Formats: sequence, structure tokens, C-alpha cells
Amino acid sequence: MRRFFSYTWLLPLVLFQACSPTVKVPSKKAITNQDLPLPSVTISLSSKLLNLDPVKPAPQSDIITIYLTAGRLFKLNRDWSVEPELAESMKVSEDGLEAKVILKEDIVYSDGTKLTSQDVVFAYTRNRDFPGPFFPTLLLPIDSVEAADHRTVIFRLKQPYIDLRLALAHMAMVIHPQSKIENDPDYFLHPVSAGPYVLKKWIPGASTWTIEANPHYVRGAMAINQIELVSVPDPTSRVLQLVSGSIDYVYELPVSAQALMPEEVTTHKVPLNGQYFFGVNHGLPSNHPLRNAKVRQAFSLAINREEINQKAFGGISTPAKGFQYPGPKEGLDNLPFKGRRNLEAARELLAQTPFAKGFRTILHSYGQRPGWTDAALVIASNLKDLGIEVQVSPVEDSVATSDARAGRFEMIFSGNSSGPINFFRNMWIPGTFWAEVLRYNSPEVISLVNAASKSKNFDQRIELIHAAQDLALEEMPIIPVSERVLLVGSRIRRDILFEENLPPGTNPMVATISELQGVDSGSAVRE
Amino acid sequence: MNNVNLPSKQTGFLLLGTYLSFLNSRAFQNLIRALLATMGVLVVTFTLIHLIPGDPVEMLLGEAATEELVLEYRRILGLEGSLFDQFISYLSSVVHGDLGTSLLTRQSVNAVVARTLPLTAWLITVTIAMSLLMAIPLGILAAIYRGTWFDHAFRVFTSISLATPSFYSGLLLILFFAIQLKLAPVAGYNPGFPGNLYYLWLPALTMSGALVPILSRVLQSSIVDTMEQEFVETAIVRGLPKSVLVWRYLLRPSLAPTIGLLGYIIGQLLSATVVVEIVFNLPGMGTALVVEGVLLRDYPLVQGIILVFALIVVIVSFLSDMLCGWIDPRTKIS
Repeated sequence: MRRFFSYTWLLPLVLFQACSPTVKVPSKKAITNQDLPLPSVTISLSSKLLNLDPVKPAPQSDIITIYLTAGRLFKLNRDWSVEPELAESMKVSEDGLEAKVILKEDIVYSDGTKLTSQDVVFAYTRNRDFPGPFFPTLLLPIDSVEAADHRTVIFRLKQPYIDLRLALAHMAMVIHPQSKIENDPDYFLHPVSAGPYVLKKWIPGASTWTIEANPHYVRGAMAINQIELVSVPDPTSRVLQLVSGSIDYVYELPVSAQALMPEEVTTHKVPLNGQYFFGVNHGLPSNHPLRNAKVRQAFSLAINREEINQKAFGGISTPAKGFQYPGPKEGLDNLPFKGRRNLEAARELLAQTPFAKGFRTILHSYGQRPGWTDAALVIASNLKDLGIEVQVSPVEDSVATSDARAGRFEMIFSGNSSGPINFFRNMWIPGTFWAEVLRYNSPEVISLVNAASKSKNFDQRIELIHAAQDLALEEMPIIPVSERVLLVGSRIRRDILFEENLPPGTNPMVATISELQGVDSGSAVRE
Repeated sequence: MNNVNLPSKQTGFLLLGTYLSFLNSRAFQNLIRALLATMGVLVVTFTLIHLIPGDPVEMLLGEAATEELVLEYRRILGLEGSLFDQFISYLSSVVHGDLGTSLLTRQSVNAVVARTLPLTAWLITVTIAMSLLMAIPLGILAAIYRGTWFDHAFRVFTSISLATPSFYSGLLLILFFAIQLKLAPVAGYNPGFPGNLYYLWLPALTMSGALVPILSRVLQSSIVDTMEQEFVETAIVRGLPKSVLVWRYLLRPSLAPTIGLLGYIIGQLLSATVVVEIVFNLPGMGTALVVEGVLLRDYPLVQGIILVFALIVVIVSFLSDMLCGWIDPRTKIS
């Protein structure tokens, strides 16, 4: 025993020895174009990578990694413009029912295998025939796909489809070699890539994984050679790691952390192509106050969207002026008073209903999501001025989703994210998630949204979808709140992330992450 | 065949006697207790995780969760049938050493445990070593200088340390040691000794914040009791050197309650790893349990990890019992 204690002094020595600076300390000097490509950066995401197969359920980390490590015919830019990635050109027939896509010449995967038009056909048919749930609504207008020759793919369509390029930029249409998928059941543990990066190291379930630049990428070299992705579930830990420099880029930063960032860290908001709203359960008994459209309109007038933005989302979430997030032309700023609070007008509206004296209700929120419960609390406080007692009930994600689907709620605070037309489909067309949850079913609105989806003329489509929004304003099935955004913190120069002032032939690192995160993510259902 | 020696009647009685004395022994009783405790944990964990609201299939499918798909996925993931049927099936797998398959990653839970257990074990080991290194001198000094300013300062320090939650003290320590002094990483882990100690010492220090006060206070009170024993007075009268007096006459007889306590609070230590692993972003069992298991309702993962936690508690309690007996034979008699 005595001998044991006489050696205890060794332990601090071992600890001291172990404290050698083995972690990299990032340089604080400004990066110039001469420093490109950067050898390596570390990005933190909030969850682990579970799966790289695009036909399976995919949380955020999977989506981001899939987009970075696989090629598509087209890629989407932040301004919603679409440009070719593996495709050289696309020609649509006069009647709009056939599209011919020519692939770029001599495309090879990261391992040197040739990419063929048959791989494109396989990407579509595998998705369509896979015995699982995930077939994006964006691909529904496609009737069949065939390879005309080794570089030509023909898409036959059920209807004219002006969003075909957008659909072909979707995660479901990432292209992998058919022969490898068919011959290797573990292919998606070590996939090859025709995209900007290729998977270098990943053990399923591990909290870090590494991707490196694909030497055969058709669009040329990347601005960053290697990216280490790290799952950091705790938001505070993400902030501290970014501040200390052990992480270069944090995808989901708590908004309260903006003020704490040192000079060398920049923050910017990433739009998720979505909007926060609170929805009403239209399956409640018909005499319930929330079934009264004027009550819902009064709610919309009574909430202070700017206050919600400031208190719950740190001022980065643009207050809603209409049903859709800012940006796409499909959206219409039709909320009265441009969405600004007007308590008098709200009181007047409520006075026209049998519920002028107020009532009690419950607002569910997803308790784990940053800012959502705070937003619900501001809404409750705003509605109190109208005489409405709102009890906020934050619940875990798993419980909130179950309750929502089962109709066990009166009001729910949530967010919808999707491409312009699918954003509306996902709220108002039966069979989609939010339409099912909210039990809202308006034949007129459905007819207008469907017509807009099928329109082959862009102006006509805008007209139809605007008409649908005007109609919805009268019924107020949901109350729009503000734009759905995330805060990103970065030590990496902004133009290395996005397309600004990079040397010719150098591709930005994560142009794909922010812009594609929200595209059609909420519309993955079979018809 | 002819060479087979059948046991004689005497040998038979001897074997029977040995068997009966084993059945009556403390080790056997501990073993039975351990098995019952493990079984209890298994039943309670299984029941609770299945009864709390929230559905793993709906979490998995997210906004694509239609009624048909939920049913289809339940079938694929083996979540069909009554709770009792599922429990029997789970129990049968556990008995065969199979903890099941994660609903989300489709990885074997055994593999998840094998990947995450070493880190958690390292964290606990370093925490215990650090805590003992701090608690023993503190406990001795607090006992020797009882009633002095040191004793009062000791009590104030231990009270504050005990009252500070580990997620908070962890953040303060990160700010001080990792951000200001840059003596430790903010988060992360790199396996392999001794490099892993660079990543573990700060989380271990955080956990020690709760352990040191308890251990040192128990040791202090135990030493105070020992100081009143006659053999200590005899040793003082004999004029033994102070170091011999402290180590042999005071510390050794007083250590048993501290070691015993360590065995009993291993469960608390494991639950502390859950919080500390998340704060320091360590990919151990605690992170897997909460982030992947409980929040996403990954039933097999939660059940598997809690079962392993229970086994660790049972084994460590058993070992600490044995160790106490070795350090201080009086505890065997009691």
C-alpha cells in the first residue's frame, strides 16, 4: 500500500507529458488566393452521419454529406438559378413532354470508372422502385427515363414540367455507378463520387468523418482539399470550439452566440428555404374558436413578428409578409399591413366572432429546437393582449411529431421548408405532411396549387399560385411568422464558401450545403 | 475406462460441503444480488423506454411519416407485436450476448458499446485517480487540522463544489483552462494512451468536482474516528515518525469506507459521464445514450447501454466490497 502511494507522484507527470500540443492551432493570418487550395478545414454539424444512400431517410448530416460527395446532372445556386454539373445541355420538346439531356464528355467517378447515361437512368429507377418511402414530389411528373446512347438521357414527362432542372438537382438524383451498387451490398459505406468531394474516412456511428476533393470532378479543383466533418450535438460546445479555433465552420450556431464571436470569426444567416408558422388543427370540433377563420385572421394581426424575430431568433429571421419565405417569385406579400402588428384591427375582427371575450388554448412547440419555444412564448404574450390565454407546451421532437400526426394538438409552432411550389403543396395538398397534420382541405386552393404545379408557362404559374395564396388569406389555415434560417459561424473566408472572387477554375467549398438543405426536404412522399 | 476414479463417499461429502459453503458465502450472495439487480434494470429500462411518449419510427421518417409507412417501418425494425413478446425476444437475444441492432444506424449495439465503452472507462478511471489524488491529502489534512481555518475553508470549498452542477463547472473549466490558458482542447477525443489523457484530464477534473468533496469528507470523518483508537495513541507514544503514523496507522484503517463508497457511487459517476461527455463532445457511451438513444427513441441502443451501465455498477460494487475486505479485514466480519 505504501509503495503504491509512493508512486502516485508519477500520475501528474504522465498527465503533463500527455498535454503536448497535438491539436492543430489554426493560423489567424488572412488567407489570400495564393494560399488556395486550403489543405483542410473542420466543419461541425449537429448530428452524426448515419447513411449515404439517397433513397433512405436522411437527417441533416446525411443530406449535406450526400450533396458534397455525389454528382448530379444540375446544381442549384443560392439565388435559385440552376446550372449544369454533369449535364452539358438539356433540350425540351415543343409539347413539353420530353427532355433530352446530354452528359459532358468523358465523365469519370473518383476512382476513374466511366460514368454512363445508364447510371442516370438507374439513379431514377432505383429511387422509384426502392421499397421505401422516399420518392420526392419533385420527381413525380417524370414518367420514364431511358438512355438513348452513352451520353444521352431522355426524360419522358407526364405533364409539362418547368421545374425539371430543379428536380434533377435534387438529392434523389445523385448519380452512382449501377454496377457497383448492384454488386456490392456495402457500396454506400465506401461510395465513389462524381461530385466535388469523395468520402475518405467514415465508420458508421463515429462522430467524425472525412471527405476529400474529387480529383476527377468535372467542374475543376476545389478551394479546399479536405473537409473533416464533426458531429457536435451540444450548441454551447459548438460555440466554444469555434471560438477556440478547433472548428473552422459551425453550421448551426445559437443566435445568442453572435455577440461572443472573436474578430476572426464571421457569422451569417443561412436561409433554409422555409418559414416558421403556427398552424391550427382543422380537425377540431366545428364550434371550436380556432375553427373560425376570423379568429385566425385576428391572431395573424395580433402577433408581433418583429418581436418574435428579435426575442426568439436573434434578429436574423425576416418577419413574414406572406405565406412564403422571401425570395422566390411564387411568394406573395399579401398579409394585411405587410405583416405588422395591428392590435386594434385584430380586436375588431375578434369582436365579429362569438369569442370576443377570449378563450383558452394550447400552443405546442418542438422543445429541442433553438428559438422555437421562445417564439411560442412571444406569441402567447402577444395573444394575451387580445384576451386569449395561450398555454405553451414544449415537447420533445419525437413526441411533437407523434402528437401532430395523431391530431393531439390545438395549435402547433413549426416550420416548413421546401422549393417554391412544393412549399405550398406541402401545406395544402392532401397526402403531404403538413396538410395531413393540419387537416386543412380546401378544394379551391388545392385546384389552384395543382394547376400551378402543372403549368408550363412561368408567368401563368405565378398567377395561379398567387391566386391560391389570396384565397388562403381568407381562410388563414396557418399563421405565417418569419423566415426559417440558421446561423453559421465561420473562420473561413466567405468567398471560399461561396462563389465570390475565387481564382478561375476554383470551386467554393460549401455552395451546396446552404442552398440545397431546404429544397423539397419536406415533400418526400409517394403519390 | 477402468482408470476412471469414482469419487469416494468422503470426497462426495467434501464436494457437497464446499458447494454448500459456496452457496452460503458472501461472494455467492453478491452474485445472486447482482443478477437480480441486472434483471430488474433490464425490465425497468425496457418498460420505461417503451412507455414514454414518442415514436422512433416517426422520428426516423420525419415529415414523410404516413400511416402506411409507419406500419411498414415497424415491421422492418421489428417493433411489431405486444410489449411482452418484444421483451421475451429481447431477453432471449441478451442471454445469447446480442444486445440488438440500433434502429437508426442499423449497427449492432454490441459494436456501439465496443466503440464507446473504452472512452467512458478511461474517463471514469482518470476521474477516480484524480479524485483520489486530491481527496486523500485533503481528507488527511482536514482531519489533522480539524477545527482550524483549513478545516473551515475545506468545508466551504467542498460545499460549493458539491453544489455546482457539472455542466456548469465544465463550461467554466473549459473557458479557463482551454480558452484562456490553452492547456486543454475545448472538446474532442483522440484514442491511444497517453495522448488521450490530453483530452480527458479536463472532463475528469469536472467530474472530480463532485467526487472529491464526498470522498474527502468521508475520509476526514473516518480518520477522525481512527485517531481516537488506542493503537494510534500507542503509536504516538512510541514516537513513530509522522509519515509512518499517517500512512500506516491513520490512512490504511480509514481508507475502507472511502473505497467502499467509491464502489457505491460508481452509478452516479456513470450518470455524470453522460452530461460531461456531451459538454466536452466526447464520443463515449453517455453521448450515445442521450443524443442517439433517448432523444431519438432508439430502444435497443438505450436498453443495451443501460444494461452495460448496470453491469459496470454491479461489478465495481462487487470489487470494491472485496477490496475493502483486503484493506481492512474488519469489514469482512461486519
